Amino acid sequence: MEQTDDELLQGFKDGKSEAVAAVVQTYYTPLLNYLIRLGCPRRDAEDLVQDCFIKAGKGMQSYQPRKDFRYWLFRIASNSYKDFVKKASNRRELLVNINKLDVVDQKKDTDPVDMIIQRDRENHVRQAIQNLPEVQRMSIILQYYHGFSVNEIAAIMNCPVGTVTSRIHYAIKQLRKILGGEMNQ
Amino acid sequence: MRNQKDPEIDDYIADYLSSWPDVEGDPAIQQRAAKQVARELRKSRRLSAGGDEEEFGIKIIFALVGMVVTGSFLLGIAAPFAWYMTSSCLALLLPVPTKYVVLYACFAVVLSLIVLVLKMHKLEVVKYE
Repeated sequence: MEQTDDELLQGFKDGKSEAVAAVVQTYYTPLLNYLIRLGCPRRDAEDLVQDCFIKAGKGMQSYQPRKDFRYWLFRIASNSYKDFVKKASNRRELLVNINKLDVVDQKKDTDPVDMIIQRDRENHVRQAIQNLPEVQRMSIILQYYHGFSVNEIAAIMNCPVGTVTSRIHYAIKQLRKILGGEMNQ
Repeated sequence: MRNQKDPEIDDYIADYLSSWPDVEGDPAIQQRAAKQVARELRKSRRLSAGGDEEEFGIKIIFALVGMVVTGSFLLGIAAPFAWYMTSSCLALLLPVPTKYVVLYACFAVVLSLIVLVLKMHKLEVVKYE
């Protein structure tokens, strides 16, 4: 990217195709993965990601340049997810059906037995993460899969750092409990 | 990006969590999303560029309409009332001159106008964050 971040974000705000394409390309996949891991079906997650970018662009007035644009986007995604859950529960829809979650493409040269083991483990992890309370799930996903620091997670989730630390601690404890049995088998 | 350095997330848990690999975004959908986002943002920018003047114009029109409607309504009530008051109250030696009733009506019109303008100022698009 030849443009500086400020120029890029200004272009994004103005809806310039190149800048928007660059920003979308950079953040699309992380946001998509975040929403899917939180429990959104893929199609809904894709719609939500698109909405996140539009909301981010429209809300650029309230964006403070000193803040990291990335975690600001994740904050929007987190709020969008909460709205989505609220709407889904209002419609009394089952948000996530673990069995219907998107299956990640497997490499064709993988041994079928390894593939089955891998898929089995993946399902267990999904199940374990889905069983966590929403705030713990968000914290652990943001920290482990997206590499955010506790301070950044606190800013994303709009809560004190201590709360995030405690949520992560309990999430890990819970995961150990759920996955521990699997590991020993 | 994996945060493997956190002491809480030890190898044991990290090994398990890594079993859930990233999903790749469909490039076609991504491209479509980028186009849609760009279109929406340009539209939003166009609206906000001309928005201030337009918004002000709309507010003035609303205020004028509000003034005429409220004024007519109040004067419609006030005029017969004033007539009744002036005639009957004078008879009762409690003079309430018509001009006070008219003044009251004007005051009500101005007050409703102020309330209307203040309410319209509050009609802002709530920024999402």
